[in-house]
Amino acid sequence: MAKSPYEILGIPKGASDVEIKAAYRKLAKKHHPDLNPGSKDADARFKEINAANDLLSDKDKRAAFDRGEIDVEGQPRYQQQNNYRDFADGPQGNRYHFGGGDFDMSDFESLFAGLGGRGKGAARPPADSHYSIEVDFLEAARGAKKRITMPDGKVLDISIPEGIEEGQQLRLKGQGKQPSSDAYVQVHIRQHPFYTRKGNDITTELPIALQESVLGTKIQVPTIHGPVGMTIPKGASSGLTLRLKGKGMKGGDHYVKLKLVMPREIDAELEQSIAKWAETHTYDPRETMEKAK
Amino acid sequence: MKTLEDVLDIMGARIDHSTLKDYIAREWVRPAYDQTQLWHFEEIDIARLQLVCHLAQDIQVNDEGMDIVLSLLDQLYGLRAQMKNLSEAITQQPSEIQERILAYIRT
Repeated sequence: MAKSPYEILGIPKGASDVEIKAAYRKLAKKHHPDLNPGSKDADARFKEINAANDLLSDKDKRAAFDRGEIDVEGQPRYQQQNNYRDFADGPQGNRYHFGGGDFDMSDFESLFAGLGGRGKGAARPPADSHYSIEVDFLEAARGAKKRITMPDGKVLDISIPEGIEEGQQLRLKGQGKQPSSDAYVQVHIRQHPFYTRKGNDITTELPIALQESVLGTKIQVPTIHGPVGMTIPKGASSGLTLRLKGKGMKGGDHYVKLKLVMPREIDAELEQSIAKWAETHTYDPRETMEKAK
Repeated sequence: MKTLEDVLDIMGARIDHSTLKDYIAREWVRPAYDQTQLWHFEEIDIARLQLVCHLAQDIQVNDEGMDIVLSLLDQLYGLRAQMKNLSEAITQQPSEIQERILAYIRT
């Protein structure tokens, strides 16, 4: 069942001519296919909007429709019209491109400026069974099995070994394009927001609060094997690195580097208590620097 | 190839002679002008004229607005042509390079 022209324009049945025109203009602006060249359904929507407008702005047709004498399918004027975008996207379109603005063709060339001397002739011939994929940090750390469709349509079953290194190449036996040939997949590892790796060890920087540093506490630390409980010793400074043994990759360790984060706002209570403390206590954290001079 | 008169015929009630001359003078439509002092419209010129008529009459874009709208449209279609060019160039590359470009775009 087709939508009624009122529904298409989003107006009530008793809408005035002015309301119809206003609704039409608003939608036509939004859905004009020439103004939305990338949108596949803009064309269909626009035809629909025009047909609805044609029907409703003609008093006789509108009355006939309201009486149920004709259906939504009118003879929309727009159907006979050529779409500008069909031409603008074609070879003739160059006639008008950039015409109104200061767009410089060399902008396009500058995209490739970074490629240096690698001209067209330097491109390597297509290597059929060589692929490259990107995997998540955790997939690389823990190992994973993946089925990936390559841009050329080839589907590969890839078993990523635990702790795979950046740039490592995997040979997938029998998965090449020709029967009984192999596929080679180079694996690139995406960065993780808070894990970094060195060999089989993982490092995270862990923010701790002032009271946690002063009083010590027990907290849960995320590791690639799930959260692990860890004790923050009383008086822990920024930079103190604690080790979670065996929580890295393939038996490697997970290092947690503490980072003391002060409260967003130093309120009066905190300020006063530290001021009071400082009246009778002092310490010099730069002592060793002085000595080394 | 159509003459100015042919175009007025095709457009019918949508545009008159002086308005069409005005659109050409404003360079909203840019048909070829030959030595015999005649305008020559190609299909793209007619389609563009229909677009300009639609923008001016149905959507009521005013003269100042039309300059901006058409300038942006011309830039948009220019960029689309360059994009098409670029993606064709990319499809000519080995699959490994294509995959890397895709991966870069997705991150």
